[in-house]
Amino acid sequence: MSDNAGERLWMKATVWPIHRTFTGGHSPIHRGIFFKILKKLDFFGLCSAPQA
Amino acid sequence: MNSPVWKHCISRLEGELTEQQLNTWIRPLQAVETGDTLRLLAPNRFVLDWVRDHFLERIAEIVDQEGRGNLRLRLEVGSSAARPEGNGRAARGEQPLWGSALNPDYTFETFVEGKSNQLARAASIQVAENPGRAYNPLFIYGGTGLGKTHLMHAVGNLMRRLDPEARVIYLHSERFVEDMVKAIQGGSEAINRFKRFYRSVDALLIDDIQFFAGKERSQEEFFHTFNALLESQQQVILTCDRYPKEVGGLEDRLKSRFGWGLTVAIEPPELETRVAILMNKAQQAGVELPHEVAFFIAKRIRSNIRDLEGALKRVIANAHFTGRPITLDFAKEALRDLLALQDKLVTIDNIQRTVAEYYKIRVSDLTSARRSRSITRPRQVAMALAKELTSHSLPEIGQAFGGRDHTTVLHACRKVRELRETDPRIAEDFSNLMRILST
Repeated sequence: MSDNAGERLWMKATVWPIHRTFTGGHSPIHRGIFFKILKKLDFFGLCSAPQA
Repeated sequence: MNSPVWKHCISRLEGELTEQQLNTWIRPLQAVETGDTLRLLAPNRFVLDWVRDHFLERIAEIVDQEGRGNLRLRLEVGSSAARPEGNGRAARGEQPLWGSALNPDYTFETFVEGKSNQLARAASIQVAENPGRAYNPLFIYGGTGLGKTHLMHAVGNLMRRLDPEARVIYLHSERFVEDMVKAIQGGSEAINRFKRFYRSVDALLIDDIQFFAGKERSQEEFFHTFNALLESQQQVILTCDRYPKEVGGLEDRLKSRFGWGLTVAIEPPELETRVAILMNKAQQAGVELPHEVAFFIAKRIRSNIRDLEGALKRVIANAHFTGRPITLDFAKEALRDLLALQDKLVTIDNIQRTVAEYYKIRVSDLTSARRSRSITRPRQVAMALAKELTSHSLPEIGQAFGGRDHTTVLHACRKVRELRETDPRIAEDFSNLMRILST
């Protein structure tokens, strides 16, 4: 997955905590696949939407 | 590593974005300032796309307000830290086996655009500006000497100009096969080196892939390389002298993959483009070429650009050696034998033979009284070609086609002109025949 140093750092800081929160850390879903699901659901878009 | 401009950008954005947005999208970016370019390295493509869609405009504004409006912003996936060994740019550290062999003279600036190559040129520029993203693979096909190689080099050169570190490899398909054979001879380590090398490039440009036909082992290796490059979004550009599906001896899985990206054709240039090419070439050679001479050469030589250039070189060399100015008469004299050969080729007899062969009918059908459409269309095309390419009069042409009236010939010429505008098949047949006859 990570082909550069920044990539792993980014995943670690951004995706892994969400993965942990959602799955309790013992997940049957691989983090890479989990990231793909987040993208598919536009998770980041929803997070960045202006707060009411 | 981060430049002062970028630091300022971050501090400005801190007041505009939430902490979460900053940490997710802005702070992970690494900025590298080289010359007049500010490269922003994103940790992955997802971040890159996100930043481009949501923040790039604002970043550009801030850079502009900083008084650094001349700075070009470029977003890339990567990291300025040492890259581990692996695919893509990561393997850049290893010693290349050979250079990229790009010809610096072949650029988009020296490429003369015309209706016949407009699409191919536009697609190539797109690819050079967004390698691996715009159209992958880009497949350029067309007859010999029409500018496929020029476009390919131009893409490579532009990519290198935008990113001087880009590993762009240009090679002829024969060279790929040759390297493959050498690798096989050298044992498993050599094969692995070969694989690593071809899979580590940013852009792989392979010319004349029709030569892969029948070379199964090379095709197999190329297939895997091709897949690996496409998967990691590295650009692949291929050229061929015909449509990929028409190349015999190529595996079907390769053919279907070639059609995956964008396939563009380069047609033979029309008269105006040929004139523009001649004027351009003359200017590059530092010679003033009168318009009438350019028109004369362009009218007589229609087949391909290499021949066109050859004729121009001949005129220029003659003028150089004899010290005479280039005029229409001088050009006629300099190209005398070339034109004589062409005239010999373009006779009514020859036109009839070529047209009959092209449409798979008999020459006697063309001169017969038969009036079925399968015969009359080719006959009309042949008459129109005879009018266009020879200096015979209408009655003479009519005579050669079974003693027909000159008004029949006139009607044929008008009909073909009209059909060329309305029926693309007739237009293609006509231009193909024209090319065959004037080669």
